[in-house]
Amino acid sequence: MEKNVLEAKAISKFFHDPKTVQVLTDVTFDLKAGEFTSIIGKSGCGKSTLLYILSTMDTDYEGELYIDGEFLGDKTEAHLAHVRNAKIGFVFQFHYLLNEFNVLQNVMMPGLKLGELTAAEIEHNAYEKLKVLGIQDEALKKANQISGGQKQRVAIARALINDPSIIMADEPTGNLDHKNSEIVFEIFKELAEEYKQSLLVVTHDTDFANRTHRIIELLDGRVIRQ
Amino acid sequence: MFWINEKVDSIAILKATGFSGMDVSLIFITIALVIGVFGGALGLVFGFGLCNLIDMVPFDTDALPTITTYPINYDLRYYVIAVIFSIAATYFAGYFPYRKASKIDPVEIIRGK
Ligand SMILES: Nc1ncnc2c1ncn2[C@@H]1O[C@H](COP(=O)(O)OP(=O)(O)O)[C@@H](O)[C@H]1O
Ligand SMILES: [Mg+2]
Repeated sequence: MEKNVLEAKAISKFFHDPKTVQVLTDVTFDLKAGEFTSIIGKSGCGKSTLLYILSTMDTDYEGELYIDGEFLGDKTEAHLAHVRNAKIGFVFQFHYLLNEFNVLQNVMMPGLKLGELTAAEIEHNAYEKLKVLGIQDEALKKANQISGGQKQRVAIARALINDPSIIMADEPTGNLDHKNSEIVFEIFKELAEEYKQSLLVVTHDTDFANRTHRIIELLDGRVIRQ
Repeated sequence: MFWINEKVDSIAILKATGFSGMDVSLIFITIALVIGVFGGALGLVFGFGLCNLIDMVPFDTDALPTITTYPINYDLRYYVIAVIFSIAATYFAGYFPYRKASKIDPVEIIRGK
């Protein structure tokens, strides 16, 4: 039996400004290692909110979250930062690279923070990841000098640098044209199938979702299919 | 400091990829201190050069017959005080912004786009 990389147990989320509204209700599911899962649902149904909780960035929720079997509900901010660094690779809709640095440095950054390898080893690994994503030629360009599709691939390379237990992505193709969306999908598929990388991808592109291994569907903050 | 406001996106990225609030503060304190040290050093060099120039200005007074140029005190203590002051000023001017940087919520920034 595959082990669970992520377990969400009865996760609920309320916003309080100014009235209290419940955005997530009893969200419960497990993700097995190597699974390529998508989360779908209408705009505003709580997908991003859920992903921010699962990625440990939002700690204001009810319920229980485990990553690699570790309960995260009672951990300090610094410990959660370490969990994100070592175990989670995050890909945003708007690429979000550090424009002060070049592509290679952006990819290396989480590895330098983790500090388990020397800078030279991290640089070597960063080049390997960029090769897998077909953008090694851009390595020394400034992050704001490459195209949107390339930026998203750099963000994926950065998410991979510490060999995370899981990659989470929030609408990773939401800002890309069809051709680049297709490239990103193929990369995710290759990561899942060849590298057994666990992936959790929020999307409202049902065509994208239908080609993943598993779909979790949200409606008004509740899981209605998984 | 003004540049923290321009760096909120970068801070959000750092936090999302595993830097803690403390790490982010340390980065900004380091940058501020580097600016403080360089600024202080630059000030010392300028100050010393300016003193040398002023030192050459003729200064005649009957009350002090031995003095012919403008009197300058080159005591090292004043230079040390200047350096400490410039570093301390940079550090304290940045104190609240560092706290702000360490408290930036990445979710708000990432969602806000
Ligand atoms: N900071 C906030 N304060 C109050 N309501 C919020 C806040 N952020 C999101 N919401 C609300 O939570 C709901 C879910 O939002 P979100 O998770 O972004 O949905 P999705 O990603 O599925 O489009 C929406 O109704 C949204 O308006
Ligand atoms: Mg969303």
